[in-house]
Amino acid sequence: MGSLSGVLPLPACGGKIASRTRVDHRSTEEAALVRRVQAADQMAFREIVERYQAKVLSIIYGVLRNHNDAEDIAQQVFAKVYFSVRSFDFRSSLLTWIYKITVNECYDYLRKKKVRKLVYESDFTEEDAQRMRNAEPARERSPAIDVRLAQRDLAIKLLARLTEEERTLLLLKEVEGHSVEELAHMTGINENTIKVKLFRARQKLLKVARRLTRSPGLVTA
Amino acid sequence: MHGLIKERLEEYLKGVPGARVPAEFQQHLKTCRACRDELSLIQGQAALLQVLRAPREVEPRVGFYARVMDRIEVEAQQKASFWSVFMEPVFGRRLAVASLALMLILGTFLAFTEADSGYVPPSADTIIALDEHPPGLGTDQQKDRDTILVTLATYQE
Repeated sequence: MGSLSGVLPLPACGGKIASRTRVDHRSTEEAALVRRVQAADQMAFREIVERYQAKVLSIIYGVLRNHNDAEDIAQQVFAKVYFSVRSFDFRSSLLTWIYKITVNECYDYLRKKKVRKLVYESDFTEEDAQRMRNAEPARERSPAIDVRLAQRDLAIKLLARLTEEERTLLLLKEVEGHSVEELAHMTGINENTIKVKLFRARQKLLKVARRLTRSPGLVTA
Repeated sequence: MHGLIKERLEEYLKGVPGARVPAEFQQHLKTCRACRDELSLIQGQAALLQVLRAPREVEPRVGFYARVMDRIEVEAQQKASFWSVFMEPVFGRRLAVASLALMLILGTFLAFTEADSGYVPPSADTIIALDEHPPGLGTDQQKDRDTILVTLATYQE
């Protein structure tokens, strides 16, 4: 499984990040771009789309594993960015803000489509889908694929029980691989607060997992 | 989970055990079974979440920006169409006239309701006084009404 470091680069400050201090996201090059979009500059918006389209699509594809749906949701994400960019308050980085919108859109989409069925049916990589087309249904299906699907289903369900903020932080940490220092930089939240929030989110997930895995038919990690 | 483990949990989960985690951390884990078990569950959970990582970078199909702009245009029209109904001159005028008429009807209704409900219930003293010295009917309309009400309220077969 490849890393997303190319997809989600580390914050542009480089080197050691000044921790435990609030980062001013108002004075970055990105902030200037946002201000131009706020002033209705279409070219600036185009730049944002082109800069983040691959990242947004990768995040969505990571959750849904379906190209068509991923593109549709990505369009929705950028439409939302366009309409709500005026409310962007520079407390976090633009990427963090877009990341949050993207994850929320994924969950809205899953909610609308009644999660379970959708995830099971659309949750294959192209190779998995090809393998399954060639195989007899269920009987010859690789158990590894089934386990992976069940794990994804469980992960999505667990995250659905968290608040938007907890979900975003946990995904940025575990899926995107950011450190606590980087998260503090990206979100503008103090490092210790990030640790506390992550810990609470993990505790909550443990509780929900215990409850969910007591139900039959669910696979634990 | 104990404070020491909680404090260093994120560094530990980052995947470089020993690199930033102090020796006491490992020492504590050796002796505290509760922390060890919980940590193991959290590690499993962190591994589980990684199934949501995209296997590779996904590039959009050509013309993605144009499709985004199309969607924005459609949504902008939808948003505008809801409010624009109120901005249309004919509809706006009709809406204003209808609102005025409704206000007039409501105002009239309220005015008449207020006029009708000018009745004040008699006090206990009045009732006692009326009971002791019943006035002759036809002299005062308000007193007549009170007398009738007292009579009705105290009527027994």
